[in-house]
Amino acid sequence: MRMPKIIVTITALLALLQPLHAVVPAWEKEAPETVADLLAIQKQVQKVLPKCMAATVTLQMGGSSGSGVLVSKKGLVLTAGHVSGKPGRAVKIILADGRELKGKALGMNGKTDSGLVQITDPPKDLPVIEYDKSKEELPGIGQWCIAVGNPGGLDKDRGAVVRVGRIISATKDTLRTDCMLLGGDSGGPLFDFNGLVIGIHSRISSRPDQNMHVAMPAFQADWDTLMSSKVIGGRIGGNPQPDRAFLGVFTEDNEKGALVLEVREDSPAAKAGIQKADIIQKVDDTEIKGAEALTDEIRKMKPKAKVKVTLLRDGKEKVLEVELGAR
Amino acid sequence: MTLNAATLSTKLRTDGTELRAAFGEAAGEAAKACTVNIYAGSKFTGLGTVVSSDGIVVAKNSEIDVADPGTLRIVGPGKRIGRTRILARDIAHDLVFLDLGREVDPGYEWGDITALNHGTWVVAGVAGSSSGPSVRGGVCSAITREIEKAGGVIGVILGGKDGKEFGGVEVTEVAKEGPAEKAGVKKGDVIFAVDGDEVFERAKMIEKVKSHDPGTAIKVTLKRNAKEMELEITLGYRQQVFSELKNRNDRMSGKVSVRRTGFKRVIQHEVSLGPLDMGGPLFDLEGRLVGINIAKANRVEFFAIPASDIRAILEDKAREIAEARGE
Repeated sequence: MRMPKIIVTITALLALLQPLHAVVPAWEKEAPETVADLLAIQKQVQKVLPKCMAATVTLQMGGSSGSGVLVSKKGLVLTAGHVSGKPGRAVKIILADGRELKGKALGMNGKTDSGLVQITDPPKDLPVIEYDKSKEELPGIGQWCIAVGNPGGLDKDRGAVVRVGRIISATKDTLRTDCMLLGGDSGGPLFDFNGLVIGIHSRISSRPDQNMHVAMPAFQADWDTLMSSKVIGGRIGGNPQPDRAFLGVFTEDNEKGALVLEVREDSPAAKAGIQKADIIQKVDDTEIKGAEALTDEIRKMKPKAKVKVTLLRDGKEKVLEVELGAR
Repeated sequence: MTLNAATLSTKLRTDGTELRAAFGEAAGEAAKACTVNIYAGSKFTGLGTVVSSDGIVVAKNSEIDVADPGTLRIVGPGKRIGRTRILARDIAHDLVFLDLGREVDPGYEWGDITALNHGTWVVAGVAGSSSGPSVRGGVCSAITREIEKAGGVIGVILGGKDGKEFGGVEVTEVAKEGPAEKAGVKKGDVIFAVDGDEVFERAKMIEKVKSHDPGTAIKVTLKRNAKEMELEITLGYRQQVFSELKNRNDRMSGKVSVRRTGFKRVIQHEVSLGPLDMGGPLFDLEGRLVGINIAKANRVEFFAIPASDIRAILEDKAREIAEARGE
């Protein structure tokens, strides 16, 4: 049946007013599914990368080396607290283009590992980049990100090293990603796909999925204190998490708990009798659902704390008393 | 993003199964067609890549360098097992060419590296499961360049006295099972000549030793309790000799390639591979071969020899290979 002309016209106009079917960018999908998705991710990375790399710097203090990122024309550098160290300490800042500038450490937070450095005489053309100023908001789990840094120290022929990965977990203090980090990367920037700094590389463990970055809300929480060159929490230039309890096992996720892969020699775990292949199920009354849960639980404790560890050995439940050590 | 879990599921991470499916679309078929497993007897010693349709396979020489080449076997495409023989070696590039023993379609086109920039995806063939090779992806991370050779080491610490007056350089420690210990050097020995040339300063001696490649032999003349003697030492790789003194980055990297320096030109990427994946192929998103993986330097840095360089080396070795095949 032929529709009256006026109804056809109105229907056509209404169709035009419908919002276009929302196309999700490849990096917002749960996972890229096709080569086209991978290409879209690559295109976005390469769009923001030049600015990200230009703003990433090498920091040298005495014999040690780290990385940082330039965030203001006034010469402010975000870095890790364990890199910049004692307030007032002399720092050499080496730009991506090779220029060497002088500066000094401002404040740091030894617990979160945030740190600031101030360039003494910033040149007018300092290549800076924006950083996330949120006090509460965190990147989402699975969000794609870009890590830039100088693992192993400055290498002029190599330049900075780029990694692309995803957020594995996020708290207000710490982001964990699958962007592999190494010594020398500390203090370097983690970017989102808009080229905004969302994290500062902080620490790793020998497990390949443990790459930790200081989250931006941690910087925001202490901003004024850091800017006034004060030290918060923890020893200056030393271990960023002092006074942390230590058990001494290397575990992996198991459906029954945390499966012990290795027990460190002479560790509190070894002394208490924990063995390889044990499955740790409880620490005191807290159920342990996996390797991370165990790490998180131990992290909450103080050295010398005595805890009851419930584990499965050869299918039988055992309870061992462990006196935790100090990391 | 639909993900609400506190941590990102492993299958969604950059080296997770979901991502591997996308990388598989790019280069899965090519990897299956050209990646071979190489065994010495029953021991898996690394990957190889078919580089010509008449069955020439390239692999990492220092990994395949076994005492008895007669035990070398290849498990090729289609899981066919066969004896193989060495056709040619290129020590400078750390490559060895093996005979697959039959014709095969390598399954890819040769690519070039001019399109590879920071952030470009690359896909590596990896030592897979029993169902065959699989693939992993990551981005190009740094500038393509030469990796200068790290010199050989003899495995001593020269931490004591030195100088012309003292009469040489004092050995304060000998690395356990290192080249010097094997040659008979002892703590307290005073070395005063290398290859017949007098050397009394510590720095000069280190330089002299470093200038030799791992695997070469040098003669050291030393004084022990007023007696003079000459010993021959075969230099080793730094990483093998000083394993107890491994720096933190090496400890955090797990197993790395023994030979990871001395390459004329390498692409650097971040695909998470193991030392036994070396010799395997590196593709771009179009499934073209862009490199042969040659070294895992550490947990962040992986090197591949560009495909065009492999082609050039193949041409250089064509005569030698033909003769080895009795052609």
